[in-house]
Amino acid sequence: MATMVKSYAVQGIDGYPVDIETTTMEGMPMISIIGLGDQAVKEAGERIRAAVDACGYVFPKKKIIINLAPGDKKKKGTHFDLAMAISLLQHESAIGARDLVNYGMIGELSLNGMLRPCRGIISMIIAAKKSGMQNIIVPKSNLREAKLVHGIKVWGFENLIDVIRFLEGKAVADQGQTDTSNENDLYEETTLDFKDVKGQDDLIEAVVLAAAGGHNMLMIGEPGCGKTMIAQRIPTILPEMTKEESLEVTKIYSICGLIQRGHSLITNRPFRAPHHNASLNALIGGGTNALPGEVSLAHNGVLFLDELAEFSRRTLDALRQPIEDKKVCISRVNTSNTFPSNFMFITAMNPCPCGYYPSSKCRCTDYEIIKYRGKISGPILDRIDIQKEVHPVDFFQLKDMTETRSSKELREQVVRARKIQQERYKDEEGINSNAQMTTSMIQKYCNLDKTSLNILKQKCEEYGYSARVIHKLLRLARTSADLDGVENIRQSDIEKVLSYRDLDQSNSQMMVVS
Amino acid sequence: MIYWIWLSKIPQIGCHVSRLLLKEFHDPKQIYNAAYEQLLQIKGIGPKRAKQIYNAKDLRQAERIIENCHKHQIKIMTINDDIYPQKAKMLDDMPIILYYKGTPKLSQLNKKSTAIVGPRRCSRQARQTAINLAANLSDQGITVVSGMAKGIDSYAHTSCLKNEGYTIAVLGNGLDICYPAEHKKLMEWIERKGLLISEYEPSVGPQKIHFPRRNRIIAAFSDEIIVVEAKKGSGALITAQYGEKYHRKVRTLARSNYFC
Repeated sequence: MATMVKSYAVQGIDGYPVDIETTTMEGMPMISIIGLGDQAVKEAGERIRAAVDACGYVFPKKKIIINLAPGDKKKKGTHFDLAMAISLLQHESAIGARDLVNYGMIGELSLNGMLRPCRGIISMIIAAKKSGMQNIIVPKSNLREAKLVHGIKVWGFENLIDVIRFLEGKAVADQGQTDTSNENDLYEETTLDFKDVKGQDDLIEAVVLAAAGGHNMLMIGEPGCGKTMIAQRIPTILPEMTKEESLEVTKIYSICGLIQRGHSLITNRPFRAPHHNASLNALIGGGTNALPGEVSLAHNGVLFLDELAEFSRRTLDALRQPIEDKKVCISRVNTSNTFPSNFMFITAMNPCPCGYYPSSKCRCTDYEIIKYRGKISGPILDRIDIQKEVHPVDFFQLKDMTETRSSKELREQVVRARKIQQERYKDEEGINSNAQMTTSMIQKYCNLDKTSLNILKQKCEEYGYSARVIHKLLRLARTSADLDGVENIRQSDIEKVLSYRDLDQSNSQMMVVS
Repeated sequence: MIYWIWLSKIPQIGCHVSRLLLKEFHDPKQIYNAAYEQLLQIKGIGPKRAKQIYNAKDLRQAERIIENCHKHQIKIMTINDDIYPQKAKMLDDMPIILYYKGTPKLSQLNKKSTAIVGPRRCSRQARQTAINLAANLSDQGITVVSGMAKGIDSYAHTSCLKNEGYTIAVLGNGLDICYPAEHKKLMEWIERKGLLISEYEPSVGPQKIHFPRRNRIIAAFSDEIIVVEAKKGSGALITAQYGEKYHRKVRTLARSNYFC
């Protein structure tokens, strides 16, 4: 009868249990691994042989068959090694492991029997916990990451011998004491702070508004005026992640193998700034074994696209669904994976091809400017609520400027506004920020007094704003009022948000026929 | 009409010679039917040119052009027509026929007109000047003439049209082609509200040598030429030089920008 050991695999961002069955039979000495494994799985045979040898056990001179069940799902990776080795030794009665069914095993073997770390640990352990497993054995380097999942016993080992001795009950288990004292060290202290941004008070105000209401934002400005600097600091004013959010982010990073060794939970909101030559798959996610793309890596954080107009149109248009649905579905022939992508979309671009409009340096014709701006398709622009011009700052005046508000102060303001919103939308399904308000909710929550309405009407007629833009303005005004904790939208809110359509206003000044 | 086109398309017979011929014969058809000796008698026409004219009896090209014009709703004005502006008629290097599209308003064509010329790439200041100028002129009912190129030309046309003025665009290519392509809408608008003019028949593309020649028509069609901004050797200066030659008033707005 075959010996079975439990292991796990990852599909998308979720794990699923894999049963590793081993049996031997008389015949030519060989090792055959079945169950739709990729090259890495096939090569496990050689690793196991070397590791078993290195640990002083005799590798059986028989025909060995290892089956990874379910046999119809494609499996990849090297983390099945440990389970395969243990099941083989147990089957041959070379070791006397007790209670093998109660242990799940994850780990890659080195040729001399050491355990190597692997990707996607969190997802696999969550799957283990779901399937009712009580104990999980992982490589020591993954222990910290593995410990993030509560309600399951995680054991970390450095080499195969230790695992065997533990399973045989000969060694006292090292459960890797949860050293909470160390956990704080892992919190990456960021050096970025809005205090460093000077002379851009208007823009910072817009950024705070965007952060508070979950609005997407476009910054337009000359090269070197501080667009990127500001974008990098946006994560510092977003509310801290909850435990669940952190776990979600860590899970995604774990699958991509982006967690640095020894690190545990990711507590800082991610900030992703892919270069504009990023391919569609890099941004959205993909590959034959679909991996999360930048939109998912920016989950619960900020996705910053610099030089928006330089991105290929196809790539940009692919962002529509992730922005709208907060998740991205990648379908391949054999599988379809869904990754979360709830990010704040911040982008920057130059105002014209040469980059210097409207200063006197610019020699672009109006048609060229319109064409350049037209590279960003309407549907994408539609999803951006705030369009703000960034004005260059005079370095020599910066010196005597007073201190601006720090990220900490701004964050408090954002958190307050978000609380108000949570309270307001507690009965509404799937809506937790002002940016997501539906039309009927706008009528309910965005009431204007007469003067504000007149100002709005006047401006909208001047620039020919559509109903959709007006709704956008109202959502922004709602956030603006929330930031100050005011019940009704004030006139000043309307005036403020009307200044957040700089691109439209600049476009309307173009001397072109359209 | 076919003989007019035929005359304009005889190789090596330019505007000057065809004007000479027209003075003598009045109608191109008579030129077509004229005997070799008859042609020789005209002052300024030697045996070589006479031979050239006499041997070019092929009307197929002219027929094709007419057909093309019909297809693209392009009309033709001859030097004898009323809508050919008086100020241009008097100059002897004007083409004998002009292709046009749009609405030729007699009242506007013989009234005062001003050309606004400048470079394709201009400063923001020059752009604003051109816009204000064109708006101003159209308020006074003065026709704005320009070349529908990128930059200053397009600003002048657009600003004039936005102020409901009358504008003439002189092109360096056939009127069925929009060059630059991004001015398609502008071209349509000028066709509706103003006039598009070209000495080139349909399907002739924009070529380098066309533009200096186009500039002479701009100069000829206007009483006054305003150079908003120009570099040495630029098209705007060529227009200005033609303007001097035709005794037009040439003005620059910002002297500092003139030769920048």
